[in-house]
Amino acid sequence: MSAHLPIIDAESAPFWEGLGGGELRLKWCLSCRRPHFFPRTYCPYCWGDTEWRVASGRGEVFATTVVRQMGFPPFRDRVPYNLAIVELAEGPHLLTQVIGCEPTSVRIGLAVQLSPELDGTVWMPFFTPA
Amino acid sequence: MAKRVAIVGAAESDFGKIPHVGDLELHVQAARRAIADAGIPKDAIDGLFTTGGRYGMMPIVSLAEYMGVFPTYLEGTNTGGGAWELLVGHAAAALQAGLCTVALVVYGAAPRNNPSEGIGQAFSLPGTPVAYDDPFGLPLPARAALVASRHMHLYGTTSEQLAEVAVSIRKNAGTNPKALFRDPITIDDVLSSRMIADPLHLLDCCVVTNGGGAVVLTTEDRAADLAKPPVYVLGSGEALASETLAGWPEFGRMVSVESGRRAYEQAGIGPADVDVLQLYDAFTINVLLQLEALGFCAEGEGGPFVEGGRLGYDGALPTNTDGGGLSSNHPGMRGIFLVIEAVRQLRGEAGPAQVPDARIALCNGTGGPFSASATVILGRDQ
Repeated sequence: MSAHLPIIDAESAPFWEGLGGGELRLKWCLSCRRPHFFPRTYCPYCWGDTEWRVASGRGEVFATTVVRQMGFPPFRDRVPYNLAIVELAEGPHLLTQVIGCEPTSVRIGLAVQLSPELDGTVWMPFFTPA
Repeated sequence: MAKRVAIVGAAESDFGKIPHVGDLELHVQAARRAIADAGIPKDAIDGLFTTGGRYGMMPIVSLAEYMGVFPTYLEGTNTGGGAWELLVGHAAAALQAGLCTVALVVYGAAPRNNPSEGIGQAFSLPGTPVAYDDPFGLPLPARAALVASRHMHLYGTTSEQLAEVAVSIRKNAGTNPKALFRDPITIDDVLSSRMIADPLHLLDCCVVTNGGGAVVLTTEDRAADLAKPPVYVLGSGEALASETLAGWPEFGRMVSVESGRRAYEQAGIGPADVDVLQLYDAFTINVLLQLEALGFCAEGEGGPFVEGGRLGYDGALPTNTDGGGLSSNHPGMRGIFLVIEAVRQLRGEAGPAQVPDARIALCNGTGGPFSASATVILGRDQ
């Protein structure tokens, strides 16, 4: 296992494991009803209890860049690659890579959908143009 | 009326490439120059304020032993590069409250000695916010690039405008014999430097150097008899956003809005009263965001605002008059240098970059670089 991959624990396992089945699982608060990212046991808005739900996997690009230089493996051999913040249809933002297109072609406002990709042993929540 | 607190000593260590000097040595080198500058003996220090570098489980304890200091009041809060503005604010509060009598704020780092460590490396623990960043390969410049992409999208900010920041700050560095890069650059030079993370070019990014710095603070009554004219802490403030960009509640709006508001209120001044400005220039876009957040221009207008050399030492708003992180030095957490340069300016010791009759300086330190902000406003006797 490569050092860059997430160390998965009990709190985060449903998120990472859902990706293998093509699901983007988010946490929703049972008290204030809001979803949040990254997934936590207690709601960061009101500290209420939370539950996992499957999100739509749809969103739009909120911010984007192309990484041309990165000093650390394995990424230094993967440049250039896209990095984007996606605003999910449910509201929360997440950092991701938009794949399946030229990295430079990714524009803010682009509609994207979840497209998990296996990196070593972990399915990563990447996105592709919708 | 609370006692006033003053910075009475300020100094940089050697900085630049200096690969033969380590982090801990740089702390002491800076500290002994700062106490010499103040005319205060080492043993008078009873307050220690530092992030403690990156030493083991108890960094401030390791550092204190190395330095041979035995403080009875200490703080080791690490909010990233701008922690030094936060620590200066906290030192002033502790001195006002009588919790210590002489406070040392001290920093040193030698990232050039271990270039494979630190920045960009995945060292996230499960459950922490960055555990959802690091697996994607997010280097620091890409964080700033994502923010820049949004600013350009919303406000039409251009790469030329970002380059203006680098050009003006390089011009300032030309007056500083210690600056790493001193040769003037043009907007074209910035735009033709290699792309690091679109839209940021190499010259939109800060340098990496070794170096350290220290400031000594005490109360007004003690300050009066010392070697140099006191530089008073007029106001300070701090605020926190989020560690990750995805968690930033108001993406693109730096929490310097809040740290600045608190500092302005305490000092009883506004942006128009600031004679010389020191901002945390890890990347050119960061300067625009801080100018907007601190009220020097409206939100979204940072691009046009910096055009025409406004930030040069002889411009309308002299900013980063030592050459900043973009051209002079950046050991990883350069906020201490903002304070040191402000002190030089307010004492009239800034050489060719001296802003005539500078009375009020504002230092804004950011960490993350969009996660935390702390603002300190300094002034001299009129």
